[in-house]
This record gives sequence, structure tokens and C-alpha cells, in this order.
Amino acid sequence: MALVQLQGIKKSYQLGKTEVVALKGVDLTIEKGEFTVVMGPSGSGKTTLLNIIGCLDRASAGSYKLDGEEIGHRDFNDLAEVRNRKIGFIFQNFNLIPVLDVVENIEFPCVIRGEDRKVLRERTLKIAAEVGLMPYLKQKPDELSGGQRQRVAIARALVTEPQLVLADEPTANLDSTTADQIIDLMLKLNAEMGVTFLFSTHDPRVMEHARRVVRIHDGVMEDGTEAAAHEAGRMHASLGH
Amino acid sequence: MFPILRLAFRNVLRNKGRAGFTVGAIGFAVFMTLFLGSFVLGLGNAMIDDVVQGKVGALQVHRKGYDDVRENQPLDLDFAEKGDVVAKVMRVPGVVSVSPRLVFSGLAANGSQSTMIVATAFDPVAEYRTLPRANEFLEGKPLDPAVANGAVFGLDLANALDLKSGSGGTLQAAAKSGQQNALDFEMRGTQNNGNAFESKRNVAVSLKWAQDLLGMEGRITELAVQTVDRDGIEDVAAAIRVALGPEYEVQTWKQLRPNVDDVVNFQRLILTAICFIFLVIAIIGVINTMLMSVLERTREIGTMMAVGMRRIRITELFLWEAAALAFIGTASGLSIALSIILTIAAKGGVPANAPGSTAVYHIVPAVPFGLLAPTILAAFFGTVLAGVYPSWRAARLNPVDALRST
Repeated sequence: MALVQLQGIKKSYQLGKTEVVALKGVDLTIEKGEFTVVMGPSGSGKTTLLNIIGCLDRASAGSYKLDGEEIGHRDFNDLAEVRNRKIGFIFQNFNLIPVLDVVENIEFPCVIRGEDRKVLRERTLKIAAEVGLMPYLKQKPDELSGGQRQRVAIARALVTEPQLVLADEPTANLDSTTADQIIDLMLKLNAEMGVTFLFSTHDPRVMEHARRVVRIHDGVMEDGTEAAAHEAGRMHASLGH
Repeated sequence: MFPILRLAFRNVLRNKGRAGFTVGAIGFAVFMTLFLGSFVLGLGNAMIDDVVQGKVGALQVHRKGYDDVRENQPLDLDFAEKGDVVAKVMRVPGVVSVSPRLVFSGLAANGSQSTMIVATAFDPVAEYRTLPRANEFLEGKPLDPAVANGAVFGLDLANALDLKSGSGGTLQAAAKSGQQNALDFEMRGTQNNGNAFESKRNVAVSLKWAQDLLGMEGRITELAVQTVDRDGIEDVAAAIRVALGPEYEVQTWKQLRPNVDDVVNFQRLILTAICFIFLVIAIIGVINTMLMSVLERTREIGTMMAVGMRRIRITELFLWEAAALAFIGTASGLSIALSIILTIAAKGGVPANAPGSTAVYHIVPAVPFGLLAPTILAAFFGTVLAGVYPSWRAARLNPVDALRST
């Protein structure tokens, strides 16, 4: 069943007197439980695409259905609600809140929607155990390594029990060993929890594990095939991993 | 609400130097407002007390038209010392005591030279009960019922006539009938309340002695009245006007000494202006600090928006941060100011000159509710108000742009 359905998505920006077209009519469907990578060179429109799918931005034209519901034209507060309930985010720079400890960072999206603290804490500890953060629960982000911070970000993305997790270059700031661990963790969560993952990445290791790779170039979707994933796998092997 | 509040407090403390600077600015504004205010109010109180309890009383009663010719010290606008007027005034609620007076002009002579004087005659017992601070600037002895011809001179006047305590002289005045009379007086002491005119012209003598001099037995021209407290003076004056009817005029100390009221009001106006400037500086500091905070935390704000925080919550967060700064700053300024002010007050205040006077007042700093409440409210809500614009800026950020921020 389709979780994300994009039809004819266009996005243009006004830069001074110049109109910049970032997306030129993108059609994309992502099924529930998929582990998908969006790849493309800088300026290709992949971040814009992810921002629209993540309800951080709105398309200039086209239709966007999330879980069968048209959400492309909702206002800011409605989109905030959608992000909070249905979407988890993992950022390249982790984007943790520095004054909150690990547990508080994980719980933050649920706290702002007023969830029952006791029930939330049980779920938080379960997820923290799942991602290997139990020894660090009371640590602040600046006391953690890059890998540990990204685990916190993953836990924060999953604690709301979202339907879709968007990861923007999640391994870009990690060393290769840690990156492998993070990829393995996300694969495991995808398999065990059935959460749909959508990545924007250049990392061939991520692409190797992707069940689907979607290419975007100059704002146009090129293709999305299993072959692309295999190609990425070969690229990974050729890099000596 | 609580997690947002906790987050706000932690955000305030994350940059301790900047928070300290902002809290310091708010605290300094509160401290200076209370500290300066307490002394300005203390000085005003001392000046008003000097007038109300040491010179004219809370209010005075005269025959109708007396005020128009006051400078001539008229004797024909007189009334009975122990008559209906005094009884009616004493029955008015809020009146605690009265002092019958006879004010006249004349010549004081030491045997070789003489000079014009303005004399106020009163019964020492009634006068000192009505004006308990009448002798605050007295050197020598006050008037005494046992010394019928005793006199207290203004310091400059006494010096001009070379009069010392215990020495004597003659006081000459025109009686009500127009006849010139003279009586010998005994010098008891000098008054120096800092007022140059009073020091050069004023003499105090006993009422009975003056009535003999002026041929006005049992008659007075002025009734000084003391009330329970200063706040109710206008009400008491209105009640006395009703009780006495149109034949008499009642003037409060503000009408009798408008210069003192003007000086006190001017001091308070200046104080308000200074405090307003302090507050504006503190508010600008808060706006600056919070805008810097919004700028530095742009990506963090983007992250909060990304995980579903609504704009109103972002606004709320920054307003709570402003409130936290306001609370800490106000509380610290308040506690430091109060501890210093109360310590000084407990030690009896500080001596200082009143404006335009050489008299030394003992200023006891005062922090009435009328100063405390506006200071706290202005500092707290002024600071929170200062947080509105930065909060609005934060809440209006575009999440995509905010997340892209470095």
C-alpha cells in the first residue's frame, strides 16, 4: 500500500527577479515499509523533494498524499501536526537540543504534543535500549560521540511511532565504522518495526542496502529501480569496503 | 507547560555570561529605581513632615479673606480662642489636636537697635502637641508656659540684634485698636530651619503674652490643625469647611507651602524620568540579547519546528525565557536594593540638605507599595514585553531556512 504519493509536484522559488525551478513535475510513490534512497548531485532538487515529503515545505503545484490523505495545501500548524504524528527526521548534523539530555531529546516530540509522561517514558526506554543508548540516558549531546548523537536522533525520530522516517545524509558526519553501525541499526528497525525509511545520501554503503534507489536530476525524477541499488553496491565494493 | 518552562530556564542558563549581563541590566534598573526612589521619597517625606509637623500643621483655619491679606498679618480677622470654631474643628473625625495662634508684625529692639519682625504667638503646650517637630532646629530652650514673656528668634534675626539665650529686649506692636504697645521679652533660644526669610524675620512668643500686647484677650487669628495621618488631610479639610461654613477658610499644607509640594512633585517627576530611562536601557538590552539568542539558535528552532512544534509554542518558549530573565533580574535587583535600603533605614537614615535649604534633614529611605509595585511590574512586564519581538521573529522562521542555518 502506498504511503507517499506524489503527482506532478513542482516547486519554484523567487530569487530576486529570477524564478528558480527546483522540481519540474515529480511523480513518486513509496510503499509502506520501503527502504528507499533518493540520490542526485548537488542542486538536483533532492533536498527540496525531501522537504516537501517531510511537510517542511509546500509544493507550488501538484498533489501530495501521505497515507492516502491529501496534505499538500495544509497550513503551517496542520503540517506541524502531520510532522509530529507521522514523520520522523534524522539530520546530517544530528540537530539535538543541547540543553536537553538524551532521554529528554528523545521524548521531545512527544512532550510537545502533551503525551502521558509515564507511557512515554516506557516507550523511550525501550527505543533507547533498541538503539544502544541505555548507558548514556542522562548525558547531554556535547558529551556524546557523533555515532551516539545520531542514535539519539534515530530514537527521537522513532519515538513518535511515525509512518515515515526521513534521513538527510545521516552518515555524512560519521566515520565509516560508525556509519556502518548506524546503517545496520536503521535496517534492523526497518525490518523489525516496519517503519518506512527515505534517505537522501551520497553514501554508497547506504545505497548498497537500499531496496530502491530513486535518481533525481535537474528537478526531474529519472528512474527508480532495483538495478540502481545493485549499481550502488558495486560502487561500494569498488571503493574497497 | 512545565517542560517548556524548564526548557526556557535551561536556555537562559546556557550562555551564562550573556544571561548574567541581561539579568544585571534588569537588576540594575530595579536597584537604581528603588534605591533612588527610596531616598527621593524619604527626602520628600522629611520635607513634608517638617512642614506638617514642624511649621504650619496639616491644615490651618482662618477667617474668610485672611489669606488675601496674610502678608499684612491682619488682626481684625480674628475669632475666639476657646469658642465654637475650635470646638467644631475638634469634633471633625481625623483631627487629633489644634493650636490656637495669633500672628502679628512689629518691631524687636535690643536697646540700641530695632528691626521688623513677624511673630507667631501660641500656647506652648498646644503648639508642641500639634507640631511635635516644631523644635527640631531649636538651639536653646523652647517656649515654656512658666515663662510668660519667653521668645524664640530666628537665628539670623537673633544675631542681627545680638540676642543670646537669657538676654532680653522689647517687642513693640500696634494693637488691634491701633495703639502702639511694647512689652519686654526674655530670649530663650534660636530657630534655624534653613529658610532664610524665616531666620531673618520670625519670632515665636506665648499666646497669652501676645494677647496682652495686642489687647486681644481670648482672641486668635489662626488655628493650626494636626490630623491622624497625612493621607487623609484633604478629607479632613473638606469636613472642616462643611462644619465651619463660609465664614472661615481652610487651607492644607499644600496650599500654605506650595513651594514644598512643588519641590516634592518635581523630585518625583525627575525620579520617574530617570527610572524610565533605566527601564528602557534594560529593555533594549533584553531585546538585543534575545535577538542574538534567536540568531544563534536558528537551526535549533528549525529542528523544533521539524519535529512538530507549533509557532505559538515557539513564541511561548521565548516569552518564558524573557520571563525567566525578568524574574531573576527583578528578584536580584529587588533583594539587593531592599537589603541596602532597610539597613540604612534601620540605622536611622542619612543626613542631607533639602533643596533650597541649609537645614539638615534626616532622610529615612522609604519603599512604599506605591513605589515597589510599579517598579516590580514595570521591570517584569517590560522585560517580557521586550521578548515579544524576538519571540515573534523566532516563530516566523521558515523551518527549511532555519534548518539550513549553520
